Amino acid sequence: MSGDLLLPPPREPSLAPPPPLATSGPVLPTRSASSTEAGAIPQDHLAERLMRSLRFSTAGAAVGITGMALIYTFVVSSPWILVMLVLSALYQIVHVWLRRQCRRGRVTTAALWCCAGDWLLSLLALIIVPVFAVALVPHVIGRLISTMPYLDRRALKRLLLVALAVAATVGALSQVDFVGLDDALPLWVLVPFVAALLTLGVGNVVLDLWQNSATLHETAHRALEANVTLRASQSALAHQAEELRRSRARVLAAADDERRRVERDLHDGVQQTLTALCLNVSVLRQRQPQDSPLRDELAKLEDLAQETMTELRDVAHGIYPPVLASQGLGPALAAVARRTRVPVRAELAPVRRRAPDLEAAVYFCVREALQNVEKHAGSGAAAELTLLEGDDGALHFSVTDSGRGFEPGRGYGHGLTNMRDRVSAVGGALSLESRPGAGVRLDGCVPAPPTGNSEPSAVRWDCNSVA
Amino acid sequence: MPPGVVIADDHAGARQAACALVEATSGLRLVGGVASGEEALALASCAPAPLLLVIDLRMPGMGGAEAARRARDLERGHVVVLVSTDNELGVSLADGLGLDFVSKSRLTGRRLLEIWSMYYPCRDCRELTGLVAFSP
Repeated sequence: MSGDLLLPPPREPSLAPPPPLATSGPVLPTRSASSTEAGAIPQDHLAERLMRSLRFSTAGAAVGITGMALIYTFVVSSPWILVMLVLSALYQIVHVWLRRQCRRGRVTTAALWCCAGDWLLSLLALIIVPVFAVALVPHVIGRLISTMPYLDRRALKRLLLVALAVAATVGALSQVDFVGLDDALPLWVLVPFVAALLTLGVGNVVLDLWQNSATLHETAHRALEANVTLRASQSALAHQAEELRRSRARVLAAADDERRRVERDLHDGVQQTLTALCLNVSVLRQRQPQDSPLRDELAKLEDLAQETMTELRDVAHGIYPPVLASQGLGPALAAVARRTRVPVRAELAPVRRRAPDLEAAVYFCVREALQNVEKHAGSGAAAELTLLEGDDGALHFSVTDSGRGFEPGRGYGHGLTNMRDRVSAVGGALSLESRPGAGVRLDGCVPAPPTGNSEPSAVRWDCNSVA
Repeated sequence: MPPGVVIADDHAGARQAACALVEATSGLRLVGGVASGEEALALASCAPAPLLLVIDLRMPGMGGAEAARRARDLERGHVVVLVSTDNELGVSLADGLGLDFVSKSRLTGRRLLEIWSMYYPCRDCRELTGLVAFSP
């Protein structure tokens, strides 16, 4: 199927391609928005969100590192503070790696490592300065909250367990003073430091709450966008289906035109010449004296010519029956019923003339069905043929037989496919029912054409116009 | 006087064969062969006596069925016989118009005389066809 078929037609504004999604911040070279790690929230949105969180952490860390450097320089030159300082600086390198992961779309990995790193650093800070626990507990909880959106249910459960362990460790560590820096640090250093850490922890939570509502908005927005796209593609699909039906109808109509042309050529050419031959031989025979031996010979010749004529007529009929084109469905179906080699009871209500493709569809469908009755119904079977016009102008037809039937699902095979193709090309439908021993019932319905061009004058036959 | 016959058929070969058939039949007189329903109608409307019109169904112009209907409606006593290579179509149309139909390849002088004698029973025809004519 070619791609341009999928393109919506230009005249329908609802099918215009959806506008590009409004994205704030850099467009990340991540996987497409439809593939998400954490449920329905789009991946690129999550990555953006984590990046913001990481930037906030970096800013906080910068403040912390500066503070520690000042403390080390001017207040207490403890090697522990130096260790903290160095680890914090190293952690910023880890953050650079985390941001790269984030940009590559590994949001869950980045979020988990960020959480783990924060917690480790917090525990380390607690070992050195237990009094920081006041500020670090909200920080640990804040990190937990801001990691949650990036995880699925299972990972979340594990993280909560780890968080409980971390919280317990924090509680325990806050009671032990290994290093003794608590006493070494003056209150005017501790208070602003704890205040800054508290602000950072609370800030992290607030940032996340804000981001959460942004995520909700974004998700809703995307859902609406997706809905619009879905509707557009639905409508494009419907359009495509309709186009397919039309093109199938066109193909069949072209084939029917060709059949009519071949039939007309046969009629105007060979059939007439053969008729002339029949008549000439007949006249020649009559001119012979009664006792002439030529008379019998000519009679044989005439029979042969007549036989050829009949065969040719049957061929022409099979191609396109003239009675259908000129007289419509009723007489044409009556003729088919007469020709069928099993008894057929035909109930043909007078119906208005239809477009040639529609009449041909019903005609060939019924003919195929009656031929199937001949072939498959078995001896002693009889058929019933009905044709009627519904109040809505739809044509209903049915072919029922009292034959041996078949297993459901086996059916007519190729013939049925042809019948279905023909009928559905003019917007109609077929149903076939059968059970072994219960005969076959074929029901068909072809709707009235949408425009009121079903007047007989619209489908006058080419009887009079010999091309 | 034997009935005058007009053959209307657009196919020259078939028309000539039918004309030859009429000419070979004693009891029939060929008035002419024409190639369209219009010409047949023109002959029919100015004929001094009832004609036997043998009209092919499928012809260019108004076509055989329409020409036959109009010739019948002239009410000049013409006898109209529809002929066609297609029996189904012919029977169906002829039934609708209340006219006689003969399969074109099986057209014979005898058959034409039979039909004529159904409308115009006469001694000659009876002799020719062996039919017992009904009284009008």
